[in-house]
Amino acid sequence: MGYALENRSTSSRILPEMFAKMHVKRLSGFFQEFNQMLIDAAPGKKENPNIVILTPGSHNETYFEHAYMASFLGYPLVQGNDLVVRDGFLWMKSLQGLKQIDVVLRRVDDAFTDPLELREDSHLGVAGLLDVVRRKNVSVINPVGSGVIENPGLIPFMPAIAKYFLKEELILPQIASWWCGQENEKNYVLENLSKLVVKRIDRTNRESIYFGELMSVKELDALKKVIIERPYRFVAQEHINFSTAPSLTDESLEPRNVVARAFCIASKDQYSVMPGGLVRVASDSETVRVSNQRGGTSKDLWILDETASKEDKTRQWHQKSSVAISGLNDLPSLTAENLYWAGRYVGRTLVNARFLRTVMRQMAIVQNRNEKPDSEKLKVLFKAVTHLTGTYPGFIEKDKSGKLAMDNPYEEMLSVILDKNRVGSLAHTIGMFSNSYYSIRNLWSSDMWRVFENIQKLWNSLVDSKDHSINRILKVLNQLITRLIAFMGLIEESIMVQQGLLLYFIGLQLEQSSLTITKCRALLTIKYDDQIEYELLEYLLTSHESLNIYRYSYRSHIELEHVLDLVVLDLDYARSLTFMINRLQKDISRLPHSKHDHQLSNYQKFVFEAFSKLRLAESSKLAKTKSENDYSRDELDSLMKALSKLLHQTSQSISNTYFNHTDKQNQLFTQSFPI
Amino acid sequence: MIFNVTHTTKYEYNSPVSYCHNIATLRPRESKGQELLDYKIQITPEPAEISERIDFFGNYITRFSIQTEHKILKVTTKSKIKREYAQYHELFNSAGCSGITMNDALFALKGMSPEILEAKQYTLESIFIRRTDKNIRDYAELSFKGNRSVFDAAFELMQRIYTDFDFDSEFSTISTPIEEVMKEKKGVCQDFAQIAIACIRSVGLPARYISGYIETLPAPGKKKLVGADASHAWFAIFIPGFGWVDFDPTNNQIPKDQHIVVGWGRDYYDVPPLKGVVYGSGQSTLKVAVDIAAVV
Repeated sequence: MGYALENRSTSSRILPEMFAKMHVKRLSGFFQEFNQMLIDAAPGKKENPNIVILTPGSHNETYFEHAYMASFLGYPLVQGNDLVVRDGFLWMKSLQGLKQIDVVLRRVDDAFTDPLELREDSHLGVAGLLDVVRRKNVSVINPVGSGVIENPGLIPFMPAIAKYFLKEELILPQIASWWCGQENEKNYVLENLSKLVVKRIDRTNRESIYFGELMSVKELDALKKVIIERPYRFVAQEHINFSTAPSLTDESLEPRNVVARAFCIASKDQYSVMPGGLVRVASDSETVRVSNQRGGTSKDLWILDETASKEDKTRQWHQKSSVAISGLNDLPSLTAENLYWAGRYVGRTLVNARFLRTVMRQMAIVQNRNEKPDSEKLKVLFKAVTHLTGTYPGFIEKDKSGKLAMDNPYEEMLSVILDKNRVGSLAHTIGMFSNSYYSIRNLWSSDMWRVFENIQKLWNSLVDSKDHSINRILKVLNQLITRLIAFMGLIEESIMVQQGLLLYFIGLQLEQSSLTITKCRALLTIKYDDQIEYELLEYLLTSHESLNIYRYSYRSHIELEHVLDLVVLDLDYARSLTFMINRLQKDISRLPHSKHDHQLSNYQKFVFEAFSKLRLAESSKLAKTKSENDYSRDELDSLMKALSKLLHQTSQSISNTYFNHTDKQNQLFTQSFPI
Repeated sequence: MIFNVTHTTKYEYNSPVSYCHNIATLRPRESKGQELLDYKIQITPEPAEISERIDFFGNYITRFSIQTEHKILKVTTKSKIKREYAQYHELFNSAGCSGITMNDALFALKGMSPEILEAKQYTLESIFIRRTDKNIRDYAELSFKGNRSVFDAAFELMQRIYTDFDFDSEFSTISTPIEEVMKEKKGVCQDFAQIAIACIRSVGLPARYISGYIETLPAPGKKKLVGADASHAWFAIFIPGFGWVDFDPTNNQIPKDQHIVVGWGRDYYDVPPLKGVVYGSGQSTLKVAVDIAAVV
């Protein structure tokens, strides 16, 4: 259904004039009824029921549709672990706590919905759900068990069923079908196998469809054997020709096989049919099977009205029940966690990309001047790369085979940038960033999609390319950084704070603060010769995108004290550590369990302490070493160490308070489920 | 005879469990020659909610959830049962029972009466007994023949399993596939019952899995040990026109009064004594103790 809707919105955008002239019937009325049906389904006719959409998750091939429907209808998209059964009711784990759910729009297959009573190996369902259904404390749509009707073995019986129950003939003709569970039918099927299409009666293996005419004698014999073994599992249908529709290929228009899928809902005493539908198109002109998994495309289906359609209530219905569930308190905790990690990973990608760019630039300069790449300042930078990305032993120590990365810095830098299997590498971080975004795509706008895909394309082009020269990498890093910033801008304007943007900001501030601390520790806590020191400060400012601001603010030679003032202690400068932690402090105070009047909650205490430490610090003291001959800036180092620990504790405490999806569901006694 | 049965199941978790949902099939059902006089279930920690219902097969299902953090889950049931089944053994010799051949039975199973329809579902595949391979059918056909009495064939099948298979509690778990049990000819009572059921279904007849207890009698002169009794399992076959007849392949006998029925289904999966979903790491050790004391 989501695909049909998406196709319609695309086609009406691309062909607005044709659309209006042809009097295409609108879909909005149908979706309005669909929404009303969900609301009416609530037990006890609740006025403002809580409705969720249950999805198997982002690995499912139809996840796009679930996400689309969720954002269109304005209901939370949840997975089994977002829900829990207690006291005979179904609850959603939200940021604030448990929230009772009245209606579940189910997109998880029947057998997987309750690991207590149904398939025990399912991780997609909610233990105890069936009991809540039995008590009529929740409505599941479609009801668990309705999948039984999708059995094509029932088709031959439909005319008799219609006559018996409704005293009517079927209006639509049925495709001729023979269920092999009957002796005569089975024999007919076995004798005419090469002319028939054979399917299984259950949905467990939807892909096993056999086209007799395309099979060899050997294959047909094998199929016969399988049918004879358990005939009731199979149904055969006459082979009918597909309709075709013109499809635009790279070169020309080509006829392609199509299948139209119609949608129908039961509402009150009648059924409503969607005046449209989804048309699936085969992936090439030869293909007879048409399905989503096989890489086919789809088209919009138009039902034409004789006169212009007057209904124009596109939006008004939309608000009726979304009001109840849209607050930050009701955000599913899994979504909240994904947003938080999205913030952390985007922050990490950006900070690391900028620092790697700074280091690569220095390498390029050294290369152009034909200098040796083992100068003191480069060594400090390389070590900072290892600290910042956490790719130990890296430049710090010899690895297990006794090699020292410092002997071949280019190779190590390539690995830190491109090796996606190395935890902490830029490629790995980009992968984590993509995963976290993919799992919250119901919150995305279409512009975000485009930029996101752009980032993927750009990165893949570098990975797949043979040219990994310093210049080429620098070029890609530049583009990557620009696109990331565009993407971050879009996030801020596409997602509302109530939808969870707050969690994104918290993740982002936490990550950027932590990395700033790591950078300062790696570059500033040891005192070097004046010249090296000067250059390191410059690199720090460059990688922090703060060199211009420094020059503007101080108009002087770069000095450590001023750099500390700007990058660490400034309360008003958006890139300073103090600013970010202050912002973090404000953001977390808006979380549902934050306290204001009396004792602060744990995570608030950690951030408050970090902020206080920064406010009490003095750059002149931080810049000093113990004595003239000493090289270590102990006070700076211990401040940074303390801050790093506090931020880590903050992160832990936020996770425990908000993302603790309690524990995962596990079987009391694990047994294999031989299906 | 009247028995007091105490059945204790104890799970000890390696790390605390915050929450759990469980289903117990522990309350003995009424069945031919058996009456439940008294029944109590005790669960620690105290469940936040507990309810009982009758499942699709007519068994008593107790559903409960514990909402307090715990490391040990203990479920104890005490049942008082009157068992007078031995008296029915004479009926097995009647023409209405042992006179029914397999051909008669298969013909009768084409019928549509409620009793036949109810029995027929036990000819279908079930979770643990699905793909029955040729070995199983071959094994079954040594006993089941068109003109032979179904009762006699089932009796012989029970005897053959008793003779051909070794009781080996180390060999199998509940998830060992029956093909493997068939190949190795080793297992425990659940395996023997399920092998027999697979054999009977492979020739098109209905068979079901019975979960229950058996009173173990001490060796002459010895005192009976508390907790030495056990959960037990056997099978029943449906003879059209007569009804269900139980057979215990582990002990090579038709159950008398020492067998106590708790529930039945298509296989073990339908009637596990205790199952559940826990919110926690899921690692646990299990201890089960059953004690059966004859009252009269």
